[in-house]
Amino acid sequence: MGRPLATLLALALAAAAGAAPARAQADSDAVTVISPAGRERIAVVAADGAQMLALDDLARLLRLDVREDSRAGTLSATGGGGVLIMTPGQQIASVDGRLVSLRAAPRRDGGRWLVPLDLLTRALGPVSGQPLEFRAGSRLLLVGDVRVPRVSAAYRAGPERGRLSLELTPAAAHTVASEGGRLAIAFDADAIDLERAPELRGGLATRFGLAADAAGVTLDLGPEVDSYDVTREDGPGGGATLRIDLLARRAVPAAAPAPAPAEDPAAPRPLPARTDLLPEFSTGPAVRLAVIDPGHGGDDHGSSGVSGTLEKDVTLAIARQLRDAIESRIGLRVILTRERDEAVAPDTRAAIANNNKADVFISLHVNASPRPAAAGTAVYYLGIDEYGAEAREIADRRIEPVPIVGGGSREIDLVRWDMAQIRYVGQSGRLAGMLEEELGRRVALSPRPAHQAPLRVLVGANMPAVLVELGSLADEDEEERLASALFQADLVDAIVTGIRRYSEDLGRARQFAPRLAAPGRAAGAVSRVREP
Amino acid sequence: MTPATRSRRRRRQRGRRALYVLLAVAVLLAGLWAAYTLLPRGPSGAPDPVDAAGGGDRGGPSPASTVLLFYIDEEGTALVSRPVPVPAADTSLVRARLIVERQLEPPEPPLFSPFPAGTALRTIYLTPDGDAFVDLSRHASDGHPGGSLDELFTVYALVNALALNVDAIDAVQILIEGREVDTLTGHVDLRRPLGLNLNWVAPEDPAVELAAREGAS
Repeated sequence: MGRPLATLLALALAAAAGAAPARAQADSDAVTVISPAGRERIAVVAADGAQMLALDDLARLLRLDVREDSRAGTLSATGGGGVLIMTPGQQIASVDGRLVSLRAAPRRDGGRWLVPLDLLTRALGPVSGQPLEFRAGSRLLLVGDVRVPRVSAAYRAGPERGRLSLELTPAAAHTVASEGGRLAIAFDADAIDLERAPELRGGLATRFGLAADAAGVTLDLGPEVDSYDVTREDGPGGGATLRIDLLARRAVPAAAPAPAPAEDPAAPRPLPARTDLLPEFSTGPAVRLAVIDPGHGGDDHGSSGVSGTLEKDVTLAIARQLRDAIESRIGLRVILTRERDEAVAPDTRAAIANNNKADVFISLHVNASPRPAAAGTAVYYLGIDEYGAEAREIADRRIEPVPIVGGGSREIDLVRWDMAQIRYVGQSGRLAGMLEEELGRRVALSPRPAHQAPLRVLVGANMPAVLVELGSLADEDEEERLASALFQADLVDAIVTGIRRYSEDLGRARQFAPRLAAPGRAAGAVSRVREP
Repeated sequence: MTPATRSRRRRRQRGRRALYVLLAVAVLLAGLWAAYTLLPRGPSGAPDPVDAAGGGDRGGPSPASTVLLFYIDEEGTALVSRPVPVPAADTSLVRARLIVERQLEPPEPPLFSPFPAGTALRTIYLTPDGDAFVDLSRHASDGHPGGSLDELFTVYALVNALALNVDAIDAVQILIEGREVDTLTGHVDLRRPLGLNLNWVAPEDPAVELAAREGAS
C-alpha cells in the first residue's frame, strides 16, 4: 500500500503544480532607464506571454507612491501628475478616471507586483508628472529632462577611403578626438540611442562601438589610416548628419584637409530647441484616440522604388514609430489598422477607426511620381464635390438636438456609411493644414502640399481624416531619404506635433463653443452612421 | 356522360390551354420590350455599347474639330492640355470613343502620358443622364506606378477629356475589364461617376479658361 500511496501523492502534487499559475521566468532582457540621476537597468520578465516589469522598480525611479487596497482589491500608484488604479487580474487600468487597456493584467510574483511593459506608455507618463518617453526599439526609458538623440550609423568602405555617417535626431553638438588609433565621437547629451550600428569587415575602420559613457561612439582605425575629415550638415527638421571620412596613406585628398579634427572649439554649435521629450499635455486632450492607417499591405505592395523599397513596408515602419511617439510624447491611445504585412480592405480601415470611436484618422502613403520635381510630402483630405448633391446636403445639414430619456438632449445625425466623412471635411481641412505646416518645417513639401480629392479610404471615416503622402519612392534620392532614420524621425515629429496642435485647437474650440452644431463643427455633435 | 359530351369537353379544355399559352407568351414579350426600352443603358445593360448610346445622345453628330486632351507636364506636378484634332463623328458615343483613343496615345515629349503603357479602351457606355462608363483594359491598374498624385492625374485626364469635349457627357466612371472597381491602385474613389475637375490642371492652362467660358455661358 505504501508505494501506491506515494505514487498518488506525487501525482496530486504534480497536478497542483500544473494548475498553479505559471511563475514568471527571468528574462535576460532589460529596460535601460536614463534620468538626470544616471543610467540604470531594470529587468524585464516574461509572464504568460507578456513582458512585465516590477512595479517596485518603476515606483522608485519615477517617485511613485504605490499602495495596495486589499479590501477594494486594487493597486494604486500616485505621482506628481495623477493617480493610476489597477486591478489584479484585469487588463485595464484607470488613469485619473480615464480607462486604458493593457496587454496583460498586473500580477503578483512572490513578494512583488509585476505590471506590463505597455503601462509605461499608456499610463505612467501622465501619472508621474514628469517627461517620460519609452523607446520600444532600443528599450530606453527616458525620465525627466534628459537629452538622448537617436543615432543611426552607417559605414561605406572604399579602397582608399571610408566614410562613417552618423544621423542624429535631434541634433547635438559633437567633438571628435583621436587617441591611440581610435576616434572618439562624443555628443553633448546624457546618452545616445544607437538605433543602427554598422558591421565592419576590416579595412580602414576595424571596430565600431558605443562609448563607455554611452554618450558617444568609438571607431577603431586600421594602420592604413593617414588622416580623417569631419563634416556636419544640420537639417531643417532639427536633425544633423555627421560624416567622418577616413583617408588611407596612399590617398591624396582633393581639398587637402588638415589631419586634425575639423571642429572649431571656439564656435560651439547651439543646442537645438528640443521638442521630442516634452509631455505636451497630460490631461484633458480633445483628441484621445488616433487611428494610424499604414497604406496597402499583403499582395497590395503599393508603389515601389528603384532599389526595391515597397510602399507597404515604409508605411508600416513609420506607422509603428508614429504610434510609439504619439503614445509616449502626448499620451494618446493609438490603434494601427494593420500591425503586420497583410491586406486590409478600405472599408475595414475606416471601420476600425469608427468602431473604436477614434478622434482622428491618418492614412499613410508614399507617392510614386518618377519626376523629381513632384517629390516631397503632401497631405490630402476629402473633396465633397465629387460626391454630388447628397454630399453637399449632408455637409450643410443642421443637426437638431433630440430629447433623451432621463432629461437633456443629444444631437444625432443619420449619415450613410459611405458618406460618413462628409460632415468632417471642415475639421479634416484644419488637421491637414496643421500637418502641412509642421511637415513643411521639417521636410521638403510637394509642389501640391495640401489638396482635396475623392480618396477611397477617407470617405467612410466618421471623424476628421487625412491621407499623408510621405514622399516619393520613384525618385531615387527620396527613396534613400525615406529609408533614413533621420528623415523618418522628422516625418514622425511633424505628424505628432500636428496632431498635438490640432488637439489643442479643438480643445479651445470646445471650451468656447461647447455645443457647436454647424457643418464641420468643432465638437458637440454625435454622428451615427447608417448602413446604406 | 355520353362519348359526344366527353369529346366536346376535351376540345374546350385544349382551347383554354392554347389561350393560356398565348397569353403567357404575350406577357413575356411585353416584359422584354419594356426592359429593352425603359431600363437605362449602363455597364450591365448595354449589349452593343459601341453603336448605341442608350437613347442619351444629347450632342448628336459632331464635325471634325480640335479637342483638349490632358497629359502630365514636364515637371510631373500638374496636368496640362494640348489641342488634338479628332475626326467628325455621327454620335456622341463615337466622338467619345475617338477622344479616349487619342487620349490613351502617348504625347510628344517632354509631356508624359498619365496612362500606363498598354492601356486600351474596351468599350464606352453612355446613359441619358450624361454619365459615361469607360471600360479600360487591366493595364490601367496593373501597370500603374501608384501614389495618390499619379492616380489623380490618370483619373482626371480621362474624366476631363470627356466632360470638357463631349456635350453629352457630364461625368465619367472608369471600369476595368468590364467591372466596377473601388480604385485603380488604392487611392481615388471610382465607385461613382466623377465630374469635370480642373484642380489638377495647371492654373494658366487653356482648359481652365475654356471651362470658365462654358460655365459662364
